[in-house]
Amino acid sequence: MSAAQSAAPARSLSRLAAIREAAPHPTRWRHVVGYMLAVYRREWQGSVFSAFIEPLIVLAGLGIGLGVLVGDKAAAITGGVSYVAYIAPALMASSAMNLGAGEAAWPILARVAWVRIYHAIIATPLNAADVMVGAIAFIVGKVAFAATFFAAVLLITGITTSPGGAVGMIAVSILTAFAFAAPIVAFSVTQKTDQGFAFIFRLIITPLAFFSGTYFPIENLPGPAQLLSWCTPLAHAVALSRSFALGTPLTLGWLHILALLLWGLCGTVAAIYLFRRRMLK
Amino acid sequence: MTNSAAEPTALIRARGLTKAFGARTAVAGIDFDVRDGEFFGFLGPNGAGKTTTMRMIAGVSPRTSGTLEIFGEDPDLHGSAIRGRIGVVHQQETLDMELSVRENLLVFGRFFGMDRASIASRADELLELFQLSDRAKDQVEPLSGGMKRRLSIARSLIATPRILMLDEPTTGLDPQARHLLWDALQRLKRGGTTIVLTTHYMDEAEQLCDRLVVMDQAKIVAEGSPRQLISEHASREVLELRFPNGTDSIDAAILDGIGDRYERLAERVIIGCENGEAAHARALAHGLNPESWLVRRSSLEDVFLRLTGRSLDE
Amino acid sequence: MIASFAPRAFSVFERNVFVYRRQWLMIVTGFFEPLFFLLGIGYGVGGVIGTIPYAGSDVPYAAFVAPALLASAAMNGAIFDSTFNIFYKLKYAKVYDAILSTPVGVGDLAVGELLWSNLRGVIYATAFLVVMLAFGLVHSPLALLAPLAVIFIGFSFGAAGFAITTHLRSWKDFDFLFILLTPLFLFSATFYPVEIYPGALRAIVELSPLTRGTHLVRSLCFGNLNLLMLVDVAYLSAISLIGYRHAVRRLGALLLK
Repeated sequence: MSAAQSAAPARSLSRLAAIREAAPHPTRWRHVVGYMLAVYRREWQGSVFSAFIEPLIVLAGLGIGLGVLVGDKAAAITGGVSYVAYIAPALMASSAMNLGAGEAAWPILARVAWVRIYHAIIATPLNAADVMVGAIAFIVGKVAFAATFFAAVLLITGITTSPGGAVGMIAVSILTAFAFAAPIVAFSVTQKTDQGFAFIFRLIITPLAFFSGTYFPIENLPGPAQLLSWCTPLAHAVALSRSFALGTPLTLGWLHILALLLWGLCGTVAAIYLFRRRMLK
Repeated sequence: MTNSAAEPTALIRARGLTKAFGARTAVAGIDFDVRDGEFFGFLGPNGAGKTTTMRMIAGVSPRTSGTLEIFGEDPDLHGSAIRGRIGVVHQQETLDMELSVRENLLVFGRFFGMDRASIASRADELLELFQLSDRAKDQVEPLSGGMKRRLSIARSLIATPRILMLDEPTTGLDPQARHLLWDALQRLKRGGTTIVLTTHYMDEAEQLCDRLVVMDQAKIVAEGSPRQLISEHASREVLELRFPNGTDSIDAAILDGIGDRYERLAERVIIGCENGEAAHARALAHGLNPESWLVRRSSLEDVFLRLTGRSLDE
Repeated sequence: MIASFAPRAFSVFERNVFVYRRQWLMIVTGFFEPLFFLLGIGYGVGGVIGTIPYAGSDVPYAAFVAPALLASAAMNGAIFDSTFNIFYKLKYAKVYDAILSTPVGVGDLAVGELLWSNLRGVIYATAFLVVMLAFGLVHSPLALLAPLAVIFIGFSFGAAGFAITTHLRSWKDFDFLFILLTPLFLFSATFYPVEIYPGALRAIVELSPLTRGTHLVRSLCFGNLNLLMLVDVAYLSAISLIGYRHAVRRLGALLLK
């Protein structure tokens, strides 16, 4: 009886220790970022196009080209600015989504299932949570870099005129990358082959790029589709990004930021839990 | 070119067979015959030219010069027809990871132009023979190394080839899997299949081959049955003496007097002789004081090392 | 015809049928991409644009874009198969080394793979044609010929993709492939008429194989028969032939050393 009583606090202490053991360390995750940077430094040429050039081509192809067709009718949806200026901040957010999601898919699966480098990393003092936090941080950092480039191009070409707005758009891209990368990393660490990515990208990421207010206002969608759109991160990112770019006020702006943070944080917790489950069995 | 009457059963005939990749000569004018129904081996260190020779025979590597006849025909001219009668097992696994075990056989049968019904029955027969029936529906990836190799061989046999070519078939397998595979190959040979294999394992060549050639640096350096090669190029027994403090200080004249020939390594002296026990006694009598010693029968390994040079220390 | 110069091509084709019986999901999901483009750009942005002039009359924007999406669906079906999948089999899985140890030759191999990648293109095009019919975007019975017309698109992109793939060294190089593909898709008269490009730029756009393929399919869908369609077919056939011959030569150099 008394033995059981004295064991109780010990058990709760050990539960605390177990939680601390599973949680990310405040700084160790940086070593994972360091590892990924080392790999990236060797392979960066291969991703220059998808990270930097492709968004500009899409902007030129759909913004300028469609802009010609839209012509004067643009004002009806853009509130006066050109069609290119209207979709540029949205494209910036959606390319943050594309890049963040892409980096969270194949490269992560490769390290979990094919190269199995993460098996080697968690054999060191780093734990599963450090690896996940480091991996997500690296992806977010990479997107931040690409977003800065994109914003600079927008400023130089005069598509966006406010430098302060450009800084705001970069911040939105970082949040967007977090909101997409974390849940997709959580998905990737449970996969054995890359077949599941066909679902994620073709049935979720691609339609999101179209129906999140990127090319035309969400209000033009049928009612239920509007609701669905607001449940996903990109609609919030597009609303924020456009508001920064055009300097238009946004009602309940904090709610949009909160939505993106929530997606990212829940994704991170899920990623840590699922990755740990895969590694420790 | 017609076959001479003296060797009507040579399935593979090479004369002056040469393959150069740019400035590098991988095979330098070799001659050999593989007879119908025999188990023929190419033995040699890595880079000796074995795999290149196999690729030329299999009709996937055009030769630079010399003549090569498979079933009396030139593989550079009748490659497809010749490949239809040869089964090939590559050194690296080339199984189709996107297909199941049984599908690997079904798809391969179609490459040989077989009809679906005979492929299906042949596939089941081969799966049974190579003890893979209960894995027929599984993916290839999770199979063990031994199972994958058995599947590779089963696949190469789908069209019942006259010649089976195996490039280092047991490299990377554990001993049990190796012996299983040897048994399977012996069975095939008894069934009349001509088998050509490359290996750098002496025991494998000794166990399996009726006849073999030893290749080194793009050339054939010896040819014969394992017994013949051992009696021609090695003594009956080998005495090995171990000196942990090095062998440099031992007088060559003393070593000369112990056996027929000797080989001085960093910490060992290997002595070829007629009688190992007697040689050991002579060594002690000459005042040698090895830390340990052993006597064994000569093997193909001794022939191999003698012919290709002792480069294992590198 | 195929049976005489590549007698074993169908056995290579059959291998892919076996593989994709398990990976049908990959094929099914590929169909949705042009559908999202139709809904998002054709109807979404089209709602703002309204109608645009085509062949002398004003047509709804969605009807203008749909044939281009059908053509690019065929292009995507063919090109993804002839690049990613073929690279995997060529460099990574060593599937071709095994295949070439059988009576199958490099010609059989190339034809078999191209037949397969083309079939994917035709499947996507046919499925998309059904969508167009359902949405009332088809203006002529000639549109029923579109799935046949895309065979020219499929062969040209399949063969060109195959030829390029034989030069790729690692997965990293695929990023460079997309440097070609994304602009090809966006700028090949897909979303707006070639007439909006200024002089020299327009000449370049007219030479894009997808511009030619789109012109072919769009003419059929609107029942607008014209002589330029013969140029389209000849141009795409020439690319197919050059791509095929280069791919076979490179395969021989890579695999039959």
